[in-house]
This record gives sequence, C-alpha cells and structure tokens, in this order.
Amino acid sequence: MKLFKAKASLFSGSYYKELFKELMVLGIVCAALQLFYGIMGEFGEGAPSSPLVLLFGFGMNRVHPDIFTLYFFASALSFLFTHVHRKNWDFRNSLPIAKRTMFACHFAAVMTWAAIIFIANFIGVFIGEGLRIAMSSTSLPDGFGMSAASMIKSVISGVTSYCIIVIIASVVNRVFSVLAAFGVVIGLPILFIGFEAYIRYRGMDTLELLFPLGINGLETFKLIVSILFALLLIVLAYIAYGKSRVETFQKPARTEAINVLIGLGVAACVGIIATIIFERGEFMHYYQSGPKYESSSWYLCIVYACIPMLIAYFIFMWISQRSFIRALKKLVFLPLVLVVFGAAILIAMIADKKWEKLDFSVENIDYVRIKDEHFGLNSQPDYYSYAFFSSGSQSRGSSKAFNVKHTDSAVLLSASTLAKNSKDNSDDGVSMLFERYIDSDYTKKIEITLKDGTKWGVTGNNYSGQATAKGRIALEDVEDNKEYIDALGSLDRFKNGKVIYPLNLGSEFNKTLLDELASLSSIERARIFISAASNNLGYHPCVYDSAPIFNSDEWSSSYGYTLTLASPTYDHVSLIYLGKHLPKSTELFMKLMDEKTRSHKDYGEFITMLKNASFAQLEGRFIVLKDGKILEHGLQLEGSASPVNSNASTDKEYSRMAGEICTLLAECIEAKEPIENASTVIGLDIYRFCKSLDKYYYYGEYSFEGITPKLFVGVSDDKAEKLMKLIVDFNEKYNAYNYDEIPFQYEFEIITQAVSDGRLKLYDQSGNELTVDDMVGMYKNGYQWFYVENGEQNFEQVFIMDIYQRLVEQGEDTL
Amino acid sequence: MIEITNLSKGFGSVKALDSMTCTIPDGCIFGMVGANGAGKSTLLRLISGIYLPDEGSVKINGEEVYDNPKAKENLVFSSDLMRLVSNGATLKRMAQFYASVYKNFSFEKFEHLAGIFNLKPSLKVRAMSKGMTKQSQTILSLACNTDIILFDETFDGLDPIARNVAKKLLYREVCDNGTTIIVTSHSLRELEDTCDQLAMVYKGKIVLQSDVSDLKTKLFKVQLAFDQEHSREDFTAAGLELLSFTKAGKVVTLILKGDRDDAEAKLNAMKPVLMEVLPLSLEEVFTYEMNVMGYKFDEID
Repeated sequence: MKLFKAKASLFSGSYYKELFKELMVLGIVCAALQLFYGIMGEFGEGAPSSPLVLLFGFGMNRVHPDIFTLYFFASALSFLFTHVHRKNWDFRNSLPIAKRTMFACHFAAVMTWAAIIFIANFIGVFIGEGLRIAMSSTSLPDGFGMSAASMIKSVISGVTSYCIIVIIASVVNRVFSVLAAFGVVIGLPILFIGFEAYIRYRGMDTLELLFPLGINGLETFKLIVSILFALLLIVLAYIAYGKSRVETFQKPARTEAINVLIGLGVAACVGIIATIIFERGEFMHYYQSGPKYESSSWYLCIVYACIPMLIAYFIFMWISQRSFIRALKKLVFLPLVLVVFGAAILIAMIADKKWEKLDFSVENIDYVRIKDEHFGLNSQPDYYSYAFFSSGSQSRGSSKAFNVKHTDSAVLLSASTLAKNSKDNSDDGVSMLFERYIDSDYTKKIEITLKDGTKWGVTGNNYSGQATAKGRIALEDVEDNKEYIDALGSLDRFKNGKVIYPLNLGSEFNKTLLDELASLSSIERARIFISAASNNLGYHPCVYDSAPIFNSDEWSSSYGYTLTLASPTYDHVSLIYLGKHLPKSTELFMKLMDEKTRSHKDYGEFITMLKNASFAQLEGRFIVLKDGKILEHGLQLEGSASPVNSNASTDKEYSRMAGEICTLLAECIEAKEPIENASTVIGLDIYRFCKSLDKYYYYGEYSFEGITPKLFVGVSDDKAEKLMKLIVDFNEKYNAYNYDEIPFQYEFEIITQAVSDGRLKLYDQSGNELTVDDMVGMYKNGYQWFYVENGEQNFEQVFIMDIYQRLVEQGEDTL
Repeated sequence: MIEITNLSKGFGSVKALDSMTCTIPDGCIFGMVGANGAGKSTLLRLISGIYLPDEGSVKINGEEVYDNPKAKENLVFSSDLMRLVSNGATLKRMAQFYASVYKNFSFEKFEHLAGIFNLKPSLKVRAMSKGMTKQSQTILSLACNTDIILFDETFDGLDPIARNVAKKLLYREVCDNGTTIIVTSHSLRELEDTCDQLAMVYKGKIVLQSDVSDLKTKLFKVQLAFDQEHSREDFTAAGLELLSFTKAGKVVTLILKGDRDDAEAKLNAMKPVLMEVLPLSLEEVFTYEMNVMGYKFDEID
C-alpha cells in the first residue's frame, strides 16, 4: 500500500526561500542574543573589567541553550500557526505543494537559521575571547568546546521538540490541546522514570538502574537514542503532517480517542506530581509555613493524588471540548490513568529490587571515574584553563580526562561512602530531585565500576553541610585507615608535575614544594591535602570527605594561601594550603608573588596612588604573619578619587584614617624589608583596585590566572601592630556589620536565649561548643549558619531560621 | 475540464455534499449559488484539494486533485481569508510568495492589475479594508496565470465600481487565456451578469445547472388581460408549459417555459385584450425552476 497517493517532490527550493524569509525575524533575534551571550560568556563572574559585565553585575554563561530551545519551540509554533491553524489552512493547502514538502521546507528553513544562530554564538565567543584578552579579564575554560557540545545537545532536543509539536499539531486541532499534549509527551516520561526515585530517595533513577552502562555509557546511550529518536521523529512528522486532515477542525482532535489520551496524560502527570508533593509533605511545609509534616505512605499518596488528577482531567476536557456536559461524559475514561500508575509502580519495583542488591563496598569496586572533571577528583573547572596556559597543550578534551580510572583506596573509599549514603540517606531526596532535573552546578556524577563490570552513576553533592554530616558518619576513623592515608598522601602522582595555580612560579618553587612535602609523613600530607580541599567545599564536589580534619584547629586555621599541584598528565590535582607546615615553600611563594607584583608595569602608579590615597577604591585583605600564625583583616576603603561614596569626600575622619592606613602601608611596601629574617611579615592581597570610575580593573596583568596580586614585606613588630590597630579601628568604625541591621534578629535572640539557658547547644565548624558571646561575635560578622549535633559526634550545619524552626516545633517560640 | 463524480463529504453528522455530480467545462465563468451552508465552499475546497472526499472524486484534466501538486499546479484558490504570510506582509511580499509557488506568476500583470484597482504594492495586508483585501485576492489570483481560478464569495461586498472592474477582468481573463473561473455567492444578483453557467447548490447537491442565456430565454413572464375570465386549465389545454399562474379578475400573469414565439402565437390565439411579455430576473428564473422541481427555495435572497 502506498503511503501517499500522488507523487510529490521532497523539497521545493522556492518555497524554502519563502519560509526562510518568514522565520527571519525570529532567527535574527535569536542569533543576536546568541552572539551577545557568546561575547558576554567570556567574562566569568568576578571580572568587573568589562563595562557590560558591570552593567549586569554578574558573569554570564557562555552557552545559552535556553535561547536555542526557545528558538526551536518558537519555530514549531510558527509552523503551527502558519501551516496548521485553520485560518491559514485553506491558503497553504490549496498551493501546488504537497503538505509533506511544506514540512520538509519548513524544517530545512528552521535548521538553516539554527546553523546561523550556532555560528553567531561562535563569532560571539571569538569576539569575547578577543575582548577578554584585551581587557586581561578572568577567563572561562574551553569556550568553543563547551559551546559546541551543549549546542549540539540543544539542537537534538530542539529538533525533537519541534517534531513532537508538528506531529501533535497534525492530529490535535486546538492550540491549547497541542500545548497540553506537548507537555505530556515531554513531561510524562521524565516523571515516569523518576517517579520511584523521588519516592524512595534513591540515588539513581529507573533508567540508570535498568541500563547499568555507567555515566559515559549511559550518556552515549542517551545521545545515540536521542539522535535516533530525533531522526525517527523527523520521519514521523513528515508523514503525520503529510497525512493531516483539516476536515476534523471542528473537533478538539482528529479523533475523540486522541483527545481522551491527552487528557489521561495530563491527569497522569498531575497525579505523579501530586503524589510526590503529598508524600514529601512539601506542599504543607511551603504553603502553610508550618512545621514540616511527616512523610506519608506513598501508596496512600497515590489515593490522595486522585483528586487533583480528576480535577486536571476534567478541566482539560472542559476546555478542549468546550462543553461542561461533554467533559462530564468523558470522565468515564479516567480509570484508564490508573494503568499508567500501575506501570510506573511495576517498573519502579523492579528497579528498586535491583538497587537493593547492589554492593558498593570498597572491596566490590573496581575503579571510579568522575564526569566533567578535567583533572580527577579534586579540582574545579577553572584549573583546566590554567593547565592549558601553562602546558601549552592543545589536547583539551574533558572526555579524555574522564577516562582516568581512579583505583587508589582513598578514592574508592570516598566513592563507596558516597554511593552508600546515596542509597541509605533519605535526606538526599529533595535535593536530588532538583539536582537531577535542574542540572545544578552543585553536583558531580561519579561513575563506579563494580567488579562484575557493571557501571553505576552516583551523584556527588557538594553541599557542604550535608557532605560534612555524611563525612562524619563514614570517615570518622579515617586517620586510622593507613591504606587510605597512604593513598591520599602519595606524592608519586606529582613527580614531574606542575603547580598550575598560580602559574609560573618556576621549577625552583616546584622542587622546593615537592621536597618539603616529601619530608612530611603521609598523614601530614593527607592533612594538608584534605584541609585545603575541605576549605574549598563550596567549590568542589565532596568526594573527599574531610570532616575529621575540621576538628583540628591546628589544620583548619592554617595559613590562607592555596596552591594547586597537578600530575604531569593533569589527571590528578590536589589543593595545598601553604602555612607553617610548609615554611620554605610558603616563604618562597611570598617572595615570588611579591616580585611578580613589583615587576608589573602598573606597580609604580599603584604605589604612588596608594601612598597618597588618591585612588577610587581598594578591596583586599591585610595579613600579619607572626610565629607561624596569621592575623587577617578585610581591607575595603575609598580614596580621594572615589566619585561614588560620600565617605571619602564628606567625612574628614574617614579620609584621615584611610589616608593614614594607605600611607603607612605604602611606606612598608616601599621599604621592602626582606621577609627571611623578619619577626613579622605583612601581606597585602589586592582583590580589586580602582583608579577611577572609568578605569575599573584588577590590578595586575596576571589576574587572568584568577589569583590576585600580592605583596609581602617584613616589618618591625611595632609597625605591624600600628597598622593592624589602624585597620581594626577603621573597620570597626566604617566597615563592621551593623548588628541591628542583620536580618533574623528576633530569631537569633530566641536561639541565644535557648543557648544561654542550656536548652540548645551550637557548635562551630570545628565542633567546638559555642558560647552566647561566640555566637554574637560570629553573627556580627555575618554568620548565619551554625552546627548542631546530629547523633554522637555527628554535626550538621543548619541555617539560623531552621534552628529557630526546630525550637518552634519544640514549643519554644517566645523569649 | 473539471469532473465531479458522486462526490460526498461529511463533517460528523453533517453531510455537506451528497453524491454530487457535475462537469465544469474549460474556458467559462461558472457560478455557484446557494444559501449559507449549502455546500459551495466545501465543493471549492474539494476542487482545490484541501479536503479529501469521503466518496466520489474530483478530477482536473483526468487527475485526482487531493494531495496531488501536479494537478494543483494550474489551479489557484482565492479563499475568503488572507492571513497568508506574516502579519507585516505587504501586497508585494504576497506577490513574491505566490510567484515562488506558481511558476507562471506574472509580476507585470500583478502591477498592471494593482494599478487598475489603485492598490499600492507596498500596502500592508493587515492595513487593508475588507474590500481591498478582496481586490488583492483577485489581483494575486489572476496574476498566477493558472488555468483554473476559484473565487469563494470574493466579489460579495465589493463596491459597484470595483465589482464591475473585477467582472471585466474576469471576462478578459476567460477571453484572452481561456481560463476557467468558478465563482461562488449566496446571492444570485452578484452572479447574474457575470457567469456563463450557473449551478444551484442546495443541501449538498447541484439541483440545477444551465447556461445563463438559456435560462433567461427559455423562461419568460406574460401579463394578459381578457374580456372574459380564463382558468389555468385553459392555458395548459392550449399547449403552454406553465410554471406559474396568477389571476386578478380578468388579468392573468403567467410564467412560461419554452419557445417564446411559439408561446406568443398560442396566447394570441386566445384573443387577449392586452398582452405584454416581461423580462425575468435570474433570481425569478431560479425560483420558478426550483418550484417546478419541488424544492422549497426560500433561502435565496
């Protein structure tokens, strides 16, 4: 049987040109936006040297797939209104072009504009790169690679969405029904796959459990499936539109069954979402502002979900049928939706059984790989660009890095802990819901290959409070685990490696650092690595659990400069905190950084302006190092050139104090006393130095390395003390937090009273119990998170409002 | 030639066309008249291949039309709506669009016709009045230079001058190029002086199809006065084909069908005091014909 009765050409060049013109406005707008984002994306957060970034106040991502998705969605709607909508149908279908040819031409026109938008983005990235280099701003890594990868994925998903809308529009006649059906087609599979994972707080969704291919395998599998699916949809859309019939336009859909199916799909989506909401108790929590209700049985929640399901189905039918009575009659089909639930539960149960059987013990793990990690476990994406600059390597593919198989026991133990926690810890549920589907930056996927060859992806969460709590459970005896410590503290991997952050410290420094590290014991090295990593929890996936180290004052308050040491192949990166444990390296580091700053072309201008306080703004920190201890104070002041702040121009006392600090600081710097034999060393970290309003820049040409200029000089104790006193007084008067203006004051007072009465115990991050004075001091400095004991020696970081909430739940809501 | 054979089309429980059969010859202006919902627009949509017939067929020069670009190449459908390209499209842009799909489209003709209607090609379609839209449709359709043009109530609502211009253009199109033009209207008055052939569409069927000249010459009205009263039977007995008979005393009004000279001779034989043959409007012709056929034909205004 022939699919189409009459012959028709696949493509019409002239019609394609017309459709290309029709899409011109949409295409140009999207291309312009993509070009703009391409340029802006080159300026990461904290790169205020770009006026445009200043205008927006934040860094923007290089790739904006949202625009691409929007473009495809809008293109599909354009097809819907120009080729399917009944008001245009007569015109389009009387033309001597077959419907299927029209689709082919429209699709080709859409893809042509997509290519133009694609190119616009690359041009934007190219221009942005040029501007960034010219402005010496902070860079983001691998712009072109990131753009291409994410945009190709966007194209596939865009084509899929476009074709789905065309297919739906070919059998569904009303725009409302088309959009509802589109939502069902996209949303139901996602909800269906994730349903049981939501309910049971499982670390993997059903698809991952049914196809144990690992992260890369699953990603490749998904990519191949999505490409094939997109191709299939193109063919189906071609046939569906070619076979579409305008005669059914008086009905909501081509057949009644189709409309009922959409209604059931809507009901199923609403039902699953309602089940999750009811089960989690989130609805009550958020909308009644009351205490969080205990989770209910999810079986029971399905019953509860029937009411919103019924309402959703009825509303859909009422709108699509345009008749209350007809909508009532269609309720007879509603029980069919239970079949969808039945299928969801059945598949979920199969997946659940599989999940229960998995053994993530260290003994059963073969190796571990980390997705999107350029250098192994302990890095952040920026390091990639540093490595690129320092090595001159052109091989910058993250997939290559992903292939690194981590087998040392430290990593295996961490991964095992993470997988077990993912399996057992029900607290992960809510965050996983967001992490998995909103693709938060705060997660990392870790692929664990078991001894039987199966690969499983586990989400690593870098939310520090949660991670710390986990770590205390799992690794409390880490220091007794010699195998772990030896693996973690091993220097073998760094032989002939490089310090990739900051750059260009030279081979002498590398050697000094490695020699000094080698002279330490394994456990000392492990402590150094862990303490640096743990202090960067906000930026790192918490694969290494560093909680035990938090208990140690000695290590956690170590000197505050971080280096990054990479293996020769960059497959492993470790953070290193400099300080009294590495005195030679620290001293050399200071010397080198100081020399770098002084040799900068703008140094002379900077020191003159500092001496006269004739700049606009200075932001940084002032450091005093004495006897291996560090005293550190924020430095934020405005000079006489400040056009925006009234302090410097109107408050004489402010000008006097700021001027005195600057002059004294400049004198110390200019005196350039060597640090080797000085009893006290002062340092200046310049985060931002503003010459005038129209010249707003990071001081220092190597600021693209992401490291701020530093100056270090030896000073007499008297001078150091004088400077410190001046800065402390200045900060107290002008920069300290105003206690009265801090939010949650009422809640804080309730909490302090509970602490004062001994009804509540709060801790700092090292596990030390806090007094009321400690709390007030921290609170004045802006701390709004404290630790509470969660089981024996397990500490959980809790936000001030949540502490208050717990007190309320205990009936202590009055002063 | 357009051949319509046993054509049926339904929409749910509504049967828009019911086993319609008709042939539309080449090179004529074919008018279709019928009340709203009679099935005229459905028929045009079937002829132009927009709808798929439920039963029967529509063939143009022997080829089925539906989903057949080749058969549609020589056909342009001037629909009653004009949301064609983008909202901001001008008449010229529309012409470019038509030119992209109709290979015989003539820009020269388009500009000439636009000049006749005093329409600027730069005028935005959205800014046009209803009448201007219909004029634009006419211009674009004629400029396509196709063998068949379908106008769906295109001339209803045009002002008299524009209608006359449009009619002249249709005549010229048929005379110069031998184009077949199908025009629908719910008003016979609109088509009376335009068409060569007329068809009456009623409840999904063509109930009457004829040459306009035949219709007008075969039916005529006669008013007679006698010095004595005559009944209907007297006239039928005289061999006259009587469609209507009304009497007011000794004055009789007849609607007759057949040869006029022959009828006049037969009537003169009845020795009327006064006899006057009056012209019939096409509307009256249709009404009487339909009455004869047993249709209640009140819908046509």
